[in-house]
Amino acid sequence: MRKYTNGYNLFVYFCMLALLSSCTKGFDELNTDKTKIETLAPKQLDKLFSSAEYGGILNTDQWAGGYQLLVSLASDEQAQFFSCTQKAFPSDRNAMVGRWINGGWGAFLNGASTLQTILDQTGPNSPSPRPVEEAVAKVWKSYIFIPMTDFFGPLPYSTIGNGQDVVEYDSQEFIYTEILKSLGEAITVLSQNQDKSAFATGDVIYGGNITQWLKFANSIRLRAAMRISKVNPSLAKTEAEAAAAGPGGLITTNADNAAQKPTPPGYLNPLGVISEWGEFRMSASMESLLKGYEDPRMMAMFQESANGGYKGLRNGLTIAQMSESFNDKDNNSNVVPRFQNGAAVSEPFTIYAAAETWFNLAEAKLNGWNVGSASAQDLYEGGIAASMGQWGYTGAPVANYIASHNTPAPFDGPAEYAAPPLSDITVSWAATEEKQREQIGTQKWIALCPTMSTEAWAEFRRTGYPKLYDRINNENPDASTAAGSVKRLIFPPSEAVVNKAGYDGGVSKLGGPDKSSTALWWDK
Amino acid sequence: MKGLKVMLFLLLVANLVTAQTRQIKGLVKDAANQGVPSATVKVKNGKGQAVTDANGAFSLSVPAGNVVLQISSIGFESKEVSVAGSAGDVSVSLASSSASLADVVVTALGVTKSKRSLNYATQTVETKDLTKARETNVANSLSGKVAGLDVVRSSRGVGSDVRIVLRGDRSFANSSEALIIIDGVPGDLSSLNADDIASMNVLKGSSAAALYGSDASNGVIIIATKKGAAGKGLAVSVNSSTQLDQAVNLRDFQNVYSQGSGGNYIRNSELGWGEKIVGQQVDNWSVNPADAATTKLESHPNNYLDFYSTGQTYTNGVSVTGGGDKIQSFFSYNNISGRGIVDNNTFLRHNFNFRVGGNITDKLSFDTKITYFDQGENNFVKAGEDFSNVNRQILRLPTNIGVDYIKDHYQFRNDQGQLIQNYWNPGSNGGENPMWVKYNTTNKMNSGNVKGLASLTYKFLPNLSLLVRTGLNKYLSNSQDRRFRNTYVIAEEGYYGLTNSSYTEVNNDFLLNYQGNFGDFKLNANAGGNMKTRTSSGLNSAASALVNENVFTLNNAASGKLSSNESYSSYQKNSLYASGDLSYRKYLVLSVTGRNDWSSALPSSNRSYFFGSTGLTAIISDMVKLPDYVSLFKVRTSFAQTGIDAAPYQTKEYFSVTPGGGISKSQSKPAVDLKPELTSSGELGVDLAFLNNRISTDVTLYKTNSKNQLVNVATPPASGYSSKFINAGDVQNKGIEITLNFVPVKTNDFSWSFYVNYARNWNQVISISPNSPEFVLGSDGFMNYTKIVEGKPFGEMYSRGFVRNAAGKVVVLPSGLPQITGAQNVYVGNSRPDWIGGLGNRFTYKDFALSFLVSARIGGVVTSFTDANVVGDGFAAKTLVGRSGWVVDGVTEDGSKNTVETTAEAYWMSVGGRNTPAGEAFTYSASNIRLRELVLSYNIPQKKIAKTPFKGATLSLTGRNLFFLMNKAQGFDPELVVSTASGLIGTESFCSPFTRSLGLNLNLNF
Repeated sequence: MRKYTNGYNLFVYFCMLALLSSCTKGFDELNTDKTKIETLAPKQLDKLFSSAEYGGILNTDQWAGGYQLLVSLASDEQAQFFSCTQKAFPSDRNAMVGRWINGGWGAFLNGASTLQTILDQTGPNSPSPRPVEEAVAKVWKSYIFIPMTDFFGPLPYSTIGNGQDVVEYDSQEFIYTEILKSLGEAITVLSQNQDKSAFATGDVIYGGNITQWLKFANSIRLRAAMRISKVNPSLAKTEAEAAAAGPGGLITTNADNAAQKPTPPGYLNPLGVISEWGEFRMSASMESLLKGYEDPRMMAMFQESANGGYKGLRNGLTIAQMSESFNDKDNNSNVVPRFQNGAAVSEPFTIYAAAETWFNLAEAKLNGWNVGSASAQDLYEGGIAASMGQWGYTGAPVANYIASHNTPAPFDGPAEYAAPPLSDITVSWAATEEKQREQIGTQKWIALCPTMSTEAWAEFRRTGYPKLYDRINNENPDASTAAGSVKRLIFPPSEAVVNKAGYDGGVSKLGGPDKSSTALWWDK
Repeated sequence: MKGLKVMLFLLLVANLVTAQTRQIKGLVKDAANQGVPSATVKVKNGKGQAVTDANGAFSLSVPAGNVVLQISSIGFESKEVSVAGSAGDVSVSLASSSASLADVVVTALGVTKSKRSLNYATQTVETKDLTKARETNVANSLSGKVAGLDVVRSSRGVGSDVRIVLRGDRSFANSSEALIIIDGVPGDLSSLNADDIASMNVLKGSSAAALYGSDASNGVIIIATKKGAAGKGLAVSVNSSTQLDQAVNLRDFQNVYSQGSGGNYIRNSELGWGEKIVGQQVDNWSVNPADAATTKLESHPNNYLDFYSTGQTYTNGVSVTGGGDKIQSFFSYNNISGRGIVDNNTFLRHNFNFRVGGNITDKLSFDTKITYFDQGENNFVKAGEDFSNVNRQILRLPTNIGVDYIKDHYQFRNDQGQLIQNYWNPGSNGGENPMWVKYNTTNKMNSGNVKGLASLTYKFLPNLSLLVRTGLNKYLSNSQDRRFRNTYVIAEEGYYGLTNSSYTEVNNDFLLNYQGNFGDFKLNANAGGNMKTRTSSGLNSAASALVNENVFTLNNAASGKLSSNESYSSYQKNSLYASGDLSYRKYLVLSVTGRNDWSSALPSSNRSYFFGSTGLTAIISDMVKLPDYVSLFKVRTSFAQTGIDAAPYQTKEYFSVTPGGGISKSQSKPAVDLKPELTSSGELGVDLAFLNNRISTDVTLYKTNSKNQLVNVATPPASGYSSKFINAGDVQNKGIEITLNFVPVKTNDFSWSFYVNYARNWNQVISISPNSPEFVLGSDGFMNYTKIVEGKPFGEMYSRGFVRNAAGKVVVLPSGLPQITGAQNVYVGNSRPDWIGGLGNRFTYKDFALSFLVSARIGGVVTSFTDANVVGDGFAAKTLVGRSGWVVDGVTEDGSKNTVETTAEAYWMSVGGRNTPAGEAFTYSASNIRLRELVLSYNIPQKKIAKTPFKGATLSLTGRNLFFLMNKAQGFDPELVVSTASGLIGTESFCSPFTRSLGLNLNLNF
């Protein structure tokens, strides 16, 4: 009997153990990832703003992947700043590579939804509203959505970050209207808080300087107004005039230029990635203009080719053509070495430069809008001077350039690539308005190089300036070799799968099929 | 009580009762004089049959006069005894038999059960050949041996990953791979020494696994390792084997045209569209100023095989076993060293295993084990579109560049003394000199794994015992990646990566076992609990540019080029479970199991979940008298449900810290209400054996449904998340498994036996989630997507393809080239096989034995990114057609026949290539049949070694993967895939060549 009792005791003991083992008190703690943050402290929100700043320009991973996909391999080629020298890449032949567009879209929305988190956490409905930060975030949202809507047309804008399975698209008209409205609101808030700071060092553009954010906001307002000047001239005029007279003023000196500082290894200067890998070179259109104008900026932006001389190459080469010696990357010009290292913290990535303001005002003046007393010519020449100043040129060389009667040069090379200049416009101010508009467009295009091809491609589509060479080949059934035949990028194919209803709405708001040949709202 | 038994017996065999019978009583005992329960006692050539009770006693009605009784029992040699007509009680002693061990199956929780009583399909793997036709990973040896077990390998040289799936893929996000249990504790096959395996049983259905909980819903492979035996003295066994691996070229390269484009030789071209090779003098590709400026164009048809050499694997092991009545122990040491077919891929492994068990008192026994595994591996071969994958570079070597030449010309020093890669297209994005990759992009991986096990069993009563056990599994690894400066794109300034990871799993168990006899009823009940904790951590650091050339240490990282990534996770699961087998007269067995898990990975509301199984077995052949030639007729059925939890940390939203202290928002929406995944399964099987088990067959039908799966579905990125976790989906697997064993010939000198396995699985994804009719499981990054699509089987593959008109004709562009779809939306096939099977044969003649296994994996497709490249680049033989002109068979947009001539170069460059290949053109059936294994062994007869200290010796000649009897994939082994991830099963991408292995194995016993 005794052994039974012993056995029974042990049995009870182990049943107790069993009950103990089912204790789950520490499980919540155990299932919390302690290498991550659950709730952001204010300083951490500042750091999150850095991510939104980088992500907003598609700089989201260690190789700035999104930027490469949509800028280096799309707008850089469509704006013809550069020509592709990577044999495996077909986008310079107008091919729409769905996988790349998916990737770039995802990168942007990563940044945009991060920004939305900041807007939510600083906005009036948050437990601790921070109106100045919210205003800065609104300006940033306006800035980053302009290139994206210019790529695609309709986009999820008001619906960003809704957490739902369907995210509706807004029309491009709605987006531009909202951007202008939102900028107006932000400008009011910022102008009343110029002594304050926002996001401190988390702001990798202005270090939290509200005065500079205010100028940036006015300048972006002007940029947006110019874009819609054809499709909605009255709103464009109102907004451009408001921007020109805006409190705090516009960005007119290079000291106020907006640029992002890289913080390697997480965030590089995205221009440094493709240039380090040597996958593009100066375009033939760029060579024709810079050589013809004897433009000193050629030396500042581009390096001599490995085999000597400043050389560009035609856009749209086939793989076989890229193998030819004339088109070899060793015979053509990369950007200067200082841009070839994405990790160089001394090289900020310029996202807005003063010259653009001058050129926009010059065009507004030609439109007859009330944007100040300076003449269109003064503004045009001011733009050139600002751009020259950005690259370190001042004084006589700049004055000589502005007075120059040089015209674009022919593009020399084997018969299949050689081409005469496309235009006879000079740098010196022309007599006719049409030529003046072309001059403004052409000089603005040069001033936007090398980091702002998104703006340059949009303005090329809107104005047709500068005149760019046709592509050598086209692989897109909806396009041709004619420069400008690609009117937009197709929506990411992934959207038709993961956001079908949103995508279908987007296509109907596009006003045409989801093809690269469908012109955008402001491009009609 | 005995009366009832007899009555029942009489009732069942009523039709067989003859006029003159008598009753024999008897006792069946084992060597230790203990009664053998459940032994079958039959009258030879007669109609009587009985089964012994728990004490080994039986009573049987037999015809009058002399009879011969046949006595058989699991684990014992069968025996025939003559019983004189006048004899009274008989006593029979049975010798235990290792050969019959297959009848005993180690099941869940380490409980040994008679195979006859099981209500689900199991298959025992013959361990004999595992130690002869060796694989460094035992998992590879299982191909073709078990019905429904699918094995694929990754392509990384020696020590590749192996994926084992039973009864088809069922989980979207979790693993579909089988759980490996070694001596009752979860383990893995890759670190297991084949010499240590005592038995291996595959429990296929989830009912078999309901007791192991979450991890076992994909079936379990239960392995018992050897332990010391009492009273046998000291036994020593030595095993030595050598295996040679030979690369086989299944590809067809063109050796007519040089590197270049458009029919011109171009010295820096990475394509094979150059000029005809006729021995002409051309510019040398070498960029080393010291090399000759010109060279003679010659083709090198053997480049591919010249690059690889014969791989060699040497396995040497010793095991010692012995023990007295109190303590028994087993020790083994095994050493595997070798090199792969890329000769700087080397490998060294040590396995130590020490096991001691015994009785402390009559009631208390113990079992302890410690195994240590240490492995060093250099330069494993990468796969896929990895620029440091040497396979990739050798496959892209133009035929006019010889392997012998690049051996001495892959690098040089420039005038600043820097080491420079010598490659025909310097700075290429993707191309590197193969020898540079081989010698200057190296890797190293060291890992150590210790497993410890300690258990105590206390027998309160002869039929009530308690086991408590602790098992620990700790794995540590360190790997290094070194790339020299001037490795294009991936290490222009050098690269050094260092990864440390560790994994610890501790299992604490208790298990109470009770056995009771209640007349004709017998109860075997278990109740237990398990507490499992897992922690894993990893630290990955990389210097993506080095200051001092080719000095590989993290301190040498250039400013801003050092990044680190750290991971840590912890997990705990507590479980309580119980199981009971109630049998009636051993021919009717009802089994019930139940288990409750509490998982830390689930939110508190769903943390606790219960599941279980029930099954019924009826041994008809014991219930009713069947014709004599029927040895076994059994029907079994079972139903089970298994719950599966999730990986840790998926229930909360986090912000991550990025390198440099930045903060980023999560792109994945957390699963706040995460529920456990639930797999329900049912199976029905019949086991038949005839002619004294000379012929036996098992047939199983099964159906499983995996619901509530944790799915990471893509969401519109604009919503703030690019994916979210949801519980959804229903994946159904239905299938049939058939095994057949047959011994056609059995004489004293000669025997022939064979077995056949066949398994067909029908898989269907019934639903995914309301808003996601499909999602991407994996992608090679360039060519394909492997997707899960509602209504379709698991693992559908999509790629780019030809645009076709309504009549199915290829639409041709004005250039004469086919129009290729922009997106990867053309269905090319499913990546999973339709059926798998094996046919094994074994012949023995005196001391010789010959066995071979043919395995088949039929159906499914495999896509080859390699082909897309070697064809697009003009290196494959099929690019010889149409080089001077080719009119594509297709129609123009308006439907008229295409007449525009193009060239093979233009055609294949648009269809193939790296970036936007049309995978449709590079998809093949994955069906293949191969001679998987061949073993010829010779047992050196006792009399020849009588004067030596040896008690036994066996010499074997083995072959593995000898050749294909059928292979629909052109140029590669379809079972060798880029990765064993479930989304990459049908994806071949720059994998290693097919290898065949030959080996010699010597086993000596002292």
